[in-house]
Order: sequence, then structure tokens, then C-alpha cells
Amino acid sequence: MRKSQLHTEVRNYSRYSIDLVWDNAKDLEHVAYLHSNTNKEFKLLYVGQDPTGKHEYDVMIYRTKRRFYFLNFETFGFRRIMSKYQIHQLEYIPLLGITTALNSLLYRTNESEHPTLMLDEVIMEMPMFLAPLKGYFAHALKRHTTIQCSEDEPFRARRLQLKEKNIFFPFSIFNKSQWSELTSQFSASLPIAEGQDHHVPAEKILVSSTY
Amino acid sequence: MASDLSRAKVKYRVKLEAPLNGRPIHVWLTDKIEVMVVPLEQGVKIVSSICPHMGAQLSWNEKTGEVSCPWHGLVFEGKSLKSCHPRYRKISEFEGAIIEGELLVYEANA
Repeated sequence: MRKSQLHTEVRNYSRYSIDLVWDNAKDLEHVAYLHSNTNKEFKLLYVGQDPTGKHEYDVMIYRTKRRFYFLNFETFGFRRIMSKYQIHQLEYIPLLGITTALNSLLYRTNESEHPTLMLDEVIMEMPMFLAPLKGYFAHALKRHTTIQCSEDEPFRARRLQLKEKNIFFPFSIFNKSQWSELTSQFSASLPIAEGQDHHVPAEKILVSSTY
Repeated sequence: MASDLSRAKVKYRVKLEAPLNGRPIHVWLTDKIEVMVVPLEQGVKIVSSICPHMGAQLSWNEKTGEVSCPWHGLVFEGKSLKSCHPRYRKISEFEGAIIEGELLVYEANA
């Protein structure tokens, strides 16, 4: 199927330092509450962390409902922290067949009023029949990110207030992912180490069932 | 209750900038302790207002009588101040009163 692409960027500035903005950028779980104008719900599916890594998490898979004006679209997303101040994110909207890749970067500026620039580079791939709506999508993306940025400023202000009082709450993931919640309930497992012959008589494999 | 409180030892005393006017307000008791003062039919309810997750300022939901976090939706039941979250189970409550424009918070077990 032929696809059409939209490649654009959105720039927003924050009144707060790059580290306060980064603190907020890592947190995706707040979208359903702090950004209820642009998001409806958020569900964490999987969170992965490289045990030798420096980040609080490395990858995150999630499901959310994005709100564009009066329309709600369920999306499935994947994000990876590439390095400090850079996140890559991929979201798929099944209803429209749209895939959006986001390259989110933070830069220090020389402006004392707005010391942090948030640059979002967006590549949106859509079915050809949606190509005439590219302008609408570009506008909606800009509106979406700008609203979220302004709603995030009180978050950063609060974190700064606490920091100035030497009260520290390090970033931490709030919800348990569905991966860890559900897969931890599996009862069947392989009895011997990987790579070895693991023939087990079928009658000895016990799986607990509840309804 | 009122007479018990009048004998209690005041631990924190903060001059309020404005009267409650039927709405909850947030007050820093010290540099580390921020509380939310919720007006009740009789007296006030004083609860910690720093979310134990990431420090958001907690708010009072008048409809449900719950304390909630605007960032991640953590909810504490209004009376017990307990939540269902396995890590952030409870927030603190303080005994106190507003007298002549001052918030008085009493020592625990006074």
C-alpha cells in the first residue's frame, strides 16, 4: 500500500532549566491527568531497563488515547531514551493506519527567560487517502505539543520549588506495567536450563486455571 | 474536641494570607512540610499536600471527599488518607485549627 509522509518540527521553549524539562520529559504516565485536554487514558504495557544503563528506564511500550479537538484515537506507542535529553518515540493509530515517529530533543539556549528549547522532529506516515489532510495533521501536532508544553510548566515550577527547599523526589515510574502484572502470574515454566534437552512428559506440565 | 485542642501544645503557627472562604488552601508549615487545609462543616482537616510519589501538590476533591494527585492520579481516601498503591500507602494528617487568621497545628498525641 502506498503511503504519504509528513516531516515537520515543532519548537517550544520553557522558562525552566534543561534538567527540570528532562525530568518532565521522561515521565509519560502523567499525560492522562496533566494533559487531559489532549489525552484520555494511558496504560503502561512494558517497561525495560538495561541493568548497566544510566537511565531510569530505557524502553517503554504503552497504549493511550490521544485527543485531537473532539476526536479520540487509540494509539500504541514505543519509546526509547536514546541519551540524556533525547527520546525517540513511535506511535501507531490503528483506526487511521498512521505511524508517527518522534525525535524529541532538549537544548540549552542563551536566553535567560527561556533557557530550554524543546525540539520535536516528527515524521508521520499515513495512507494515501489521508494525504490531503497533511496540513490539518501538522497543525494538530503543533497545537498538541504546544498545549502540553504550557501544561507542563507548572509541573516544572513545582519541581523547582521543591528542589529549592532541598526536597528531592527522584523520577520514578508510577504504575506497574501490564507485562509485569500479568506475566508474573504464569505458572508453567521449563524445568531445566536453556540449551539442554527439556523433554517433559505432558502430564507433568501443570498450569493453574481460574475463571 | 474543641476543649481538648485548646489545651494542646501548638507545634506550628502560620499567619494566613487570606481567609479560607470555603475553599482548601495550601500552607508551608516549615521549609519541608506543606499541608492542605480543608474547611469542614466544623473546623478544618489538615493533611500533608506533598505527593509521596514525585512531590506534586495534592488537591482536595470536594465531590468525592478524596485527596488526589494531579500528575498521576494517585488517590487517598478522604477519611483514612490511605491509597491502594502498594508504594504510596498513606499521607499524614495533623490536628489543628484556624484562630484569628492563624493556622495552629498541634503536636501529635497532645
